[in-house]
Amino acid sequence: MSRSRILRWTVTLVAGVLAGGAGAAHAQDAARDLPPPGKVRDLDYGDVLFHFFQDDYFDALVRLEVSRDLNRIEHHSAEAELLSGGLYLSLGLHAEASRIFNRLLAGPVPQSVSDRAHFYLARIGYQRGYHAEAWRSLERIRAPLPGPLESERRLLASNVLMAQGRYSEAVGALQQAANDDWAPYARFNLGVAMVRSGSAEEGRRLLESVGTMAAQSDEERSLRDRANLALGFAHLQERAGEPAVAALSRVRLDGPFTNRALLGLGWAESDVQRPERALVPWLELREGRLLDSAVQESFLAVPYAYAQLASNGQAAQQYRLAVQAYAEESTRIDESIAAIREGGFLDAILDSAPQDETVGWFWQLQNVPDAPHTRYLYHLLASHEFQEGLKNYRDLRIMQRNLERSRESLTAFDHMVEARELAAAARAPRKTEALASTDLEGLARRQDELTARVAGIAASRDVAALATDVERGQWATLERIEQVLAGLPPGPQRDALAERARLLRGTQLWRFDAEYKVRLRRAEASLRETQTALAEARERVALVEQAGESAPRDTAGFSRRVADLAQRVDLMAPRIDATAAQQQHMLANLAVQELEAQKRRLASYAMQAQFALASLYDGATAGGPQ
Amino acid sequence: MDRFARARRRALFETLLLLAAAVAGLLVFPVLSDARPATGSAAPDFALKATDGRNLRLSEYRGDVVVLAFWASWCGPCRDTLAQLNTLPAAGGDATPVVLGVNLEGDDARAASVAQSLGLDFPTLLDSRQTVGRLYDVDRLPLTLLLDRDGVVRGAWAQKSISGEEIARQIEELNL
Amino acid sequence: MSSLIKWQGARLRWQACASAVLVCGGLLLGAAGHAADPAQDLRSVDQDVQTLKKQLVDLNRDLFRLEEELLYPASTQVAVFLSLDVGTFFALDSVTLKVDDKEVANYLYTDREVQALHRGGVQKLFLGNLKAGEHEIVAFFTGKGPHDRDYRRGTTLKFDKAIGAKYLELRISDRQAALQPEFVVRQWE
Repeated sequence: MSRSRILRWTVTLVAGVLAGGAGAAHAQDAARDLPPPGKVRDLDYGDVLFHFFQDDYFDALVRLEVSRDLNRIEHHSAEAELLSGGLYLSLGLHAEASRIFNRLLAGPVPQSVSDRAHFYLARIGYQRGYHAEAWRSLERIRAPLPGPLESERRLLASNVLMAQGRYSEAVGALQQAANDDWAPYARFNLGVAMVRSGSAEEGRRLLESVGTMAAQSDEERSLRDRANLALGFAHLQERAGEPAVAALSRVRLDGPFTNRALLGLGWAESDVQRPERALVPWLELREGRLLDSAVQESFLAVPYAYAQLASNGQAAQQYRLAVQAYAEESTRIDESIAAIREGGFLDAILDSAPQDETVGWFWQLQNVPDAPHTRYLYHLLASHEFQEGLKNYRDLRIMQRNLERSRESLTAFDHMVEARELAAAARAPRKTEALASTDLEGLARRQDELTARVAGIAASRDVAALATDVERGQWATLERIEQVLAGLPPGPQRDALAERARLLRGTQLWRFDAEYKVRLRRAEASLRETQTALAEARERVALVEQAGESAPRDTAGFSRRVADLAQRVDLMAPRIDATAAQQQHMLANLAVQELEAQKRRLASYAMQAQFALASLYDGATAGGPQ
Repeated sequence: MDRFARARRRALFETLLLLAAAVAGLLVFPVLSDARPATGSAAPDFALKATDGRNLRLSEYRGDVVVLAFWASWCGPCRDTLAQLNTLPAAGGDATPVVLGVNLEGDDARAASVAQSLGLDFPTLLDSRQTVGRLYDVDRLPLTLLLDRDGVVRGAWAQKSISGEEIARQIEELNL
Repeated sequence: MSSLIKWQGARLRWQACASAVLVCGGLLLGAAGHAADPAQDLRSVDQDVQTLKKQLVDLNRDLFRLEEELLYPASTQVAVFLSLDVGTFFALDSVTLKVDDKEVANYLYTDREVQALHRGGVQKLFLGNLKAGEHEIVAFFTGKGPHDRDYRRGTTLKFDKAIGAKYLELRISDRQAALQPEFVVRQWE
């Protein structure tokens, strides 16, 4: 039972690491097909991106929601939708993200958008364990996805196939993804799965390829160790000692898997009847911390080796040592259980991990402090369930702080609204005054009159009408002259004067005519200006009136909104606290269960040691080895 | 009552008054000399240029425990604090805090040379226009602030130098 | 060796292998056998957390809107944005902005912010209130261009504030003169 269970958990764990480890990358992927720099057409969308590119996912999401509500991102609506889905996903809101992607797919969207929506839905489905659904979503992707997303799709496809037990197809899928960054992790997963499902040889081959790969990063070295460890134990299962030794010897001597590798090495040697060589790694292992289960086993393995070497005296002594060690460790576990029951252990773990609000919803704890309540937590933390619970708890604490800040903001807003009300009340009398003194109607009337006159002038081409005062004066003078002329007796004198007057009149008319067009245009232009000014003045008066009427309405509106938000804050706060308490309780229970299981195992080891001791004594009294 | 007695009485009364004022002054004085922001409130965000030319923004250090040390070259205890912070022991849980020195002199060249002569391992930010000094209401030096991973002020030491051990102890006690 | 020990040894060894690989996989025997209830509880807490998170996002969104409407009503709102549109990397250092001869922004850019701008992010540099009518902005930027050259450029714009929110975009672009970043100003709505 245990072997298959073991390997299945391994698969889940690593798969979980893969999927979850890319949590923060979800949002990044959604932005992969973004408009290139300079092509952002809605400034508010650019603002969202500015925060998103700095990994401020929460901030980016809030701004995105605001801008969409206010219709400020009309040029990028499909992209914005996709981005919001990715952001919700990064924050752990997979239900909301699913809703968004599905809604996106319900409408008419370009294929590039729908392909990506299907991809994210497939990923969500896989993480939730709905493998068939995930596969269906994957099948709806029509074209290769942009950039690195395509390799992620291949990884997801192979993961889903593995999860469904379709191993041969998974192998095929992996072959196509041979050059992807994720390929070694997938090969490891598949190798382990195949070993357990009966295709042991193929599985071992896959593990071997990962176990001998060149590793650049610490992560890759860890993976390589894991693969060699799994390979070694797979060989041990077949009682193939030499290959097991080969594989286990490749595990690093100073890594997280050293102890288990040492244990396995001992068994490999013991398998091929070389107990004296088995003692070497086992004795070294036994010097380690007893909280490590491999070390615990070494306490039994060492005397077993001595017994194999027929050093019964040594064996007996070592078994007695084992019993003592187990008893001491059991006591320490009791202390840990007590500490957990007292509470506070979660905070101790949390406080040693970076509390970055911007990190996505999945993060792994690397360093656990060595205190009574945290000693065994390395094992616990490897559990997916515990990690999820811890993540929830941390998120809830962050949410509490956000709520506190919101509360403070609302208090400030309340004061602002109050100040506004006072200011509006103070301004009211001034406003009515100003409105009263503006005689818009009078102005409008005059404007109309002027417009009509100019139109009349234009229609009748009344050039004289646009004359300047000086010109009018001259014209008047001319008329006077002509009057005088009329009174003069006919004769050459009168004729000369009349001629001059005629010439003058002609010149003036000619000048008027020339100026007429220009002046008419100018008159019309200035009329237009005053028309515009009048319109603006009308607008402003209307606004002022409106503001006067709406100010009390506005401040009432703001007051209401502030009160409404404050109420929401008040409702949320206890719910967050309650959920946090519930989660803490659950985690404490998980931890205690884990520790009690540890105790049980230690007890069973202790019992085996006792049996072995008894057998040794029996053998001794019965006289010599049999 | 003879006037001497009256005079004595008045003298006594005035002495008491002075004493009361002095006591009141003493009580008020610590409050006045506490620099804002108060412990428990968020540290105001700012960005300054460091001596190496980079611009550093306080809010980008969210997620780390931060020690903010305000100083000037003429302030002796400030230099002591800086020297101490330079060799800050890693606090519990292998979380070494980020230290940021903020120089308030307005003389960038001098600040840089002092920082170099002290061999400081952490960034020295130059508050050339004294905007941050005003933002944090720094009226007396040294001023050292301890910020938690959310940017909230959790400890403040004003007007005296502080040792590395004391900071480490505070970090541990506050479980930062 | 007695048969009992041999048997013990074999059993022990099987267990060791098993638990060792278990440990390799990362889970212990005892913890593996969970009842359905804890898993159910985790799911319901998970759902609660999700619901609360969504509520919090909504709350923050509504707060953000309220704040903007309270402090910067549409009728007087003016927003100045900053963006980068350069072919080669430009290490923007600082931007100062003056509106009607009053300094309203003096921003220092960190590496992280510069990267975000290069990827297409747009910074909301300034948000304020202005009365209707003509106003003037003056902006300067400093930074290091290719070949480690220092740049300092400025621009001025007179604009008319009508009744309605005004958006101005300050774009640092090197499209006009190759490799020479300049300010390009655009007015929106």
